[in-house]
Amino acid sequence: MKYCRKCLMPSTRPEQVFDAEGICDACHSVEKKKSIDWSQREIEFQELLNKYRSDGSKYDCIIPVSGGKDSVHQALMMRDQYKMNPLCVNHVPCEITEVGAQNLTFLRELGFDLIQVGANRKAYREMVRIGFFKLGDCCWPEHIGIFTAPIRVAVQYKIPLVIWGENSQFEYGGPATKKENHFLDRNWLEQFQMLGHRIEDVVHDGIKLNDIKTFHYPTDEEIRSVGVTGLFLGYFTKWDTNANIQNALKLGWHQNPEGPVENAWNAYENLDCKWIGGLHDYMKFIKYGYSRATDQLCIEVRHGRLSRNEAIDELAKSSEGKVPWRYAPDFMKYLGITEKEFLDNLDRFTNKRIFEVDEKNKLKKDKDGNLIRKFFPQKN
Amino acid sequence: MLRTRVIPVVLIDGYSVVKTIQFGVRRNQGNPITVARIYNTRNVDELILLDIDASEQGRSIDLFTIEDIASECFMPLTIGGGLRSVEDIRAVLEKGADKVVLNTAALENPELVRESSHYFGAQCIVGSVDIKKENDRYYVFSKGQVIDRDPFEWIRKLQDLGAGEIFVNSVDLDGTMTHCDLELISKAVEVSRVPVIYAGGVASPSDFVAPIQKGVSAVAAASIFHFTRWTPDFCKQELQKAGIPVRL
Amino acid sequence: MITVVNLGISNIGSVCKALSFLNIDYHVTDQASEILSAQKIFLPGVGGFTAGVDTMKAKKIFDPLREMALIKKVPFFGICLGMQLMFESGDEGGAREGLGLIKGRVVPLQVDRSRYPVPHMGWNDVQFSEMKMFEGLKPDSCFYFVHSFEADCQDPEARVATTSYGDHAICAAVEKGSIWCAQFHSERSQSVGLQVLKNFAGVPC
Repeated sequence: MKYCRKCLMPSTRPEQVFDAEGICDACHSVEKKKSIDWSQREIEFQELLNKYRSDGSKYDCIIPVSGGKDSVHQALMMRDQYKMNPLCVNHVPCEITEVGAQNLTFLRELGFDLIQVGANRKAYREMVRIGFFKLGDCCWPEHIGIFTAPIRVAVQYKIPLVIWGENSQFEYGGPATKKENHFLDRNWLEQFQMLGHRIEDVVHDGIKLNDIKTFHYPTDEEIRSVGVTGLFLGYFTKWDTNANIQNALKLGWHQNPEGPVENAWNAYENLDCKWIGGLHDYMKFIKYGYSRATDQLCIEVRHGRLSRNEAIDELAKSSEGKVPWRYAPDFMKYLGITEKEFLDNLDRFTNKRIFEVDEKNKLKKDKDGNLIRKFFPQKN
Repeated sequence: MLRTRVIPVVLIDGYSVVKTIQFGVRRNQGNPITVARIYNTRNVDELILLDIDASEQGRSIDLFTIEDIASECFMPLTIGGGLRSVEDIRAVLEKGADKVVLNTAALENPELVRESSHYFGAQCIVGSVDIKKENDRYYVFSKGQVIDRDPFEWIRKLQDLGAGEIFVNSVDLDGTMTHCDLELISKAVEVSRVPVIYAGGVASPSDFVAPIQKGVSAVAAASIFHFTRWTPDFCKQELQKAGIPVRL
Repeated sequence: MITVVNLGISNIGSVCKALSFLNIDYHVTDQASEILSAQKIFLPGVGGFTAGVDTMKAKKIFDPLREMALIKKVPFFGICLGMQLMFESGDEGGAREGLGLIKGRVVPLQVDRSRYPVPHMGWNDVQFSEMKMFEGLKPDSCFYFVHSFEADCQDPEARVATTSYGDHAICAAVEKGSIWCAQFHSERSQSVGLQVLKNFAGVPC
């Protein structure tokens, strides 16, 4: 396991690419962004939007929202800066947190209409079960739903334009063919969000495709008839996460009152669902040996707000790598499983090459039941 | 009736699943255990797991990884990567492999094929050949370059030595998701009396049909399952439409 | 408790993993004394008939296995090579006498080799009679096969399942009282194969 020489990103991250000097793609993206002619992109964006903008009597674009800091930014930008008439669409998470619900209300207080797509809890729970037990990611259905729900609403309401936030493949690094794109389509979703599983695969687990309609991407024909186009706002305008956070907070948006969610470093991300902050991030840790705190600290390093060495100290102090007990009992209850089943499954997904094991290939744990890392970024 | 197999290939670099393009550029696809488990869930016909760095790094594929995968995957598991001796092969079979792939080691020590086939049976030994076309001729490709060996003579020889199955990889089409090399397939099938698996270049479910019609017993693929909407089920449905028996 | 016989040339790993997954108690041995006290015997195997017989003899478990199957009549299940070893004779790699639990000999696959590659490798549907072994399975379920030799079973009543390769019918399974065997790899045949293992585990000792 290697780490980027500029930030803390390890080589185990899916789609990770290092150059010959050992610098990761995301660090290069930040550099590349400095040379982007934003005014040119701005013109390009305006021209595109002119084709879609309505006189105000109808919605002319959809903004997928979680209620997070980025959705606030997207909604405000589109309405106030680009004079569009957005409809916000939220895919209801498995178990919404209090702060998550508050932030959706806050969006409406800011003057945005909101449609919530709530998948039936029976099938949703079974998909979470597949995610947790078969794919090693309890939030698998959520990763799909946040992309399919807005597109389905776009088709139903005949609103052709969907404005996504950043292209994570550019921001965090990804394959060359996909990172320069400014649009999101079905293949993007399948390559990066679905962990190699496809929606049709659920039939092998006894789920009927008809019971999970909100998770189906519309057919090519439906997409064509409405002309649905998904654009990454982050491609056209400079994306400054920190500024977005400060602006949202000033307006009354809520950060997590409990501080960073488990496995994270800051209190601004993954706040809406009880499983996504915490368990989802922890499952990422056991598979790849890094988690949300690393992601967040890498962004701090890339933007020069922390040095690499400072970030390493911060990482050591963070809760990354600790079993997320805050909502674990709720999760076990939600799936109707025992603590042993819960913990055994986590062990099954742990990559034993990157954690300490005994001579029988059994994972070693510390006195609190946490794994012991074999690798940790070293200071330069 | 014997069903035609669609076989996902999972390449690992020791820690992570990777997908190569023309045996070069790589994309990291995550945790091998997760990927293998997904294919088990998908009820696939067989899984080929290869550690593509093992030979060059002078180690052999990690036994614990095989054990972890075999603990939950109840389809045939074919394993390769840095296996150099009968003892290496015995170790992976004990951890849960059903068949082993010999490629580099067979080139360097053909007797290993004979010895292991005698010991574990021909059905256990898959002779793998990476093939690259240069100036209209096919060559065996090994450790990043073509070598002076006729691939079809080598396929014949592998069978004589005791390989029970031949795994043909097109280096030129690997990861390109464009089309299959039907000329290569015909030539490989012509010199084979054991089942042949072809890999390299499938772009869509319909691409599985022609190689089978040319006589291979199975088509293996990776990119199409990592990067597109198509699942192994879709591919088998397409074969079925073409009148080829599959297991659905 | 199932006693899994380790011939040392088998894919013993995949068999054990399947039993563990099903929460079936088992232990692995190649010792005569442990075989002689077994309640249920499982004989997996891949490889050649001759090597299999020679290994059983070298490990001094040939006669104990016969005794357990024929005299003590403990439930006894052989898979692939394990099945073939239960017949009277075979000559893969030199002529040898087998355990002789079932009438018949092991011969090279009787298919037209110019048209059908050997080994017979892959998934094939199995036509079976209603026996304990196949309880809970749909007719014509597919199992995974990989073999170059086949058992020519001379006990028509024992032959409870067949599969066809080309136009040739292969004996796919035998069930005769407490003696079971299967040419297919039950441990590698996904849920249908696991069901067969469960059925064997469910046979009263």
